[in-house]
Amino acid sequence: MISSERVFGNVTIGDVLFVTITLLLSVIVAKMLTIRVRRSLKDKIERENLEILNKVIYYGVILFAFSLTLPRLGINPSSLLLAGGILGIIIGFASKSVVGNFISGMFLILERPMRIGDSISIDDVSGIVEDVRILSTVVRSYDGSCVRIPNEKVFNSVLTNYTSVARRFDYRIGISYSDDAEKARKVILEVLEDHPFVLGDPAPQIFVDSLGDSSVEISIRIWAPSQVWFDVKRELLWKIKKALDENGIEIPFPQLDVKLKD
Amino acid sequence: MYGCYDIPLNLTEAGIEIKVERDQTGKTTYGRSGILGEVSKTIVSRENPKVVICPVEPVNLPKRITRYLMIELDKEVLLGPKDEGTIDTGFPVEIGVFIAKRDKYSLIDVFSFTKQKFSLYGGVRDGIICRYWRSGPNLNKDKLVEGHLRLQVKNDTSDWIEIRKVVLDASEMKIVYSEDEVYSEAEMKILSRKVGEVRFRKPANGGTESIKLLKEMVVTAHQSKFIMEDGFK
Repeated sequence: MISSERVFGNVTIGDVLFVTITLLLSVIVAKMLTIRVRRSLKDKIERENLEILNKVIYYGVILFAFSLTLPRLGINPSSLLLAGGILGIIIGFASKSVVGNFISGMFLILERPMRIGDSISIDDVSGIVEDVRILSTVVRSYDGSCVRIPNEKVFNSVLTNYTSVARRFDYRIGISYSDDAEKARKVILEVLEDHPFVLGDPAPQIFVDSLGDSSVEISIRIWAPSQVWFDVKRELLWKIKKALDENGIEIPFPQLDVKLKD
Repeated sequence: MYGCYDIPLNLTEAGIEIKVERDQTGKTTYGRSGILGEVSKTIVSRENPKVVICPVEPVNLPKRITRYLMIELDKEVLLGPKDEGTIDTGFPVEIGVFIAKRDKYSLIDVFSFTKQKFSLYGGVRDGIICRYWRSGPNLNKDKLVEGHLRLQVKNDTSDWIEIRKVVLDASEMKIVYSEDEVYSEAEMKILSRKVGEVRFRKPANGGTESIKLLKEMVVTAHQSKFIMEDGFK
C-alpha cells in the first residue's frame, strides 16, 4: 500500500494526504462559515467589525484544523510552544518588515484610528479606507485608484481622519473698501440660511477677518453634513458671489494706486 | 389634497397641479407642476392602479441624509421635579404621492411646502444630523405645511428641567391625517438633566393612517426609542 509508505519518521503518505485533505476541508468550511456569518449579520453589525469577525473565524477554523492534524505529522502541539518561541525569533530577524506590518496591523485593528469607509489622509495619500488587512491598508483615492499602504507606514505616519458627522469648510471673500461690510455679512447670511444643508447648529460664522491691500477680507465658516459637504461647498461660493453682485457689493481685483511726483 | 384617488386624476391645490393619466396602451403618466417645480414619471402597470397622497415622515427632502427630526420649541418649557405634562408643538409636513396596487405601495413623488433645514445634535464626531424644525404652540393651521405633534413629557428626576429641543427617530413616526389636521404623538421620559428617552407612539386621535416610507430603513436590531444624551437645550 502506497499510503502506508513512510515519508519521514513515522509519517506516512496517508498521514500527509489526511493533513492535506483536512486543511483543504477546513478552508472550505471556513469559507462557508464566513459567507453564512456575513449574510446573517450584514444588517446587525458594522461592516468593519463584520470583516474583523470573519477574519478571526476564517483563520481560527484553519488554525484549529491544523492543530488537530499535528499529531499525524508526529508533532506534539505542546512542543510547538517552545519551537514557536525560537521560530518567532528567527522569523522576526528574517522578515522584519512583514512582522512589523503584522504587529502594526494588530495595533491598528485594536486602536481603530480609522474605519472602513472613512475619509483619511496618510502622508501624500488621500481617499476612502477600503480595507484594513493584517499586513496592509487599502485606500481608494479620490481619483478612483487603489493604493496599498503597508501597515507599518500607516502606524508610523501622521494620519488625518476627516470622517465626522459634520464637516466645516471656509471661504475668504474680499469686498471693496467702499462697500458696507455689515451689509455684505447680511447678504451672505441670507444665502447660507436659504441653503438646507448649511447647518443651523453649529451656526455659520461670518466676520471681517483682515484689512487687505485691495479689499476688506470676510471669512465665512460653514458646517455641513459630511455626506453632502463637498456639494454644498461647490454650490455656495457662486451663490454668494451672485448675491453680492445683486446687492451692488463689489469683489475687487487686486489694485495698486501709484502717485507720481512732478 | 390627502386621500386615495382613482386614475385619471387632476388635482389643483395650493399652487400645484397633480395630473395622473392612463392611455389606451396601459401606460400611466404622473405629472406635477406649479410653484414647487415640475416632476414627470411614467408608470407601467397592467391593472389600473390607484393614487394615494398622504403626509410622510419629514426627512426625505431635499435628499434623505438622516432619519432624525429635531424640533426646537419657540418657547422653553420648564418641567417640575417628578412632574409630567403635555406639550403641543408642530412638525414639518412632507407629502408623498404613492401608486397603489392591491396592498403594495410605491412612492412616485414627494414634495413639501416647508423650508428644509438641518442641524447637528451632539458633537461633530459622534452626534447626529437632524432635520430641523422650529415650532411653537401656535401651529400653522395649514395642514399641508405643519402637522400637530402632541408630546407627553415625564420628568423622572428631582430637578427642574428646561426643554427647548426634542430629537425623534422619524422611522418610528406614526402619522394620521383627517379633514382638520395632520397629527402625531410622542412621549419623552427625562432620566437626568441631560438624558432622555424619546419615542413615537400610536396616535390616540382618529384619522387615516399615513403610509410609512421609512420602514425599509428599520433593521432587526433597531431601537424603537431615541436616547437624547446631549441635553434638551
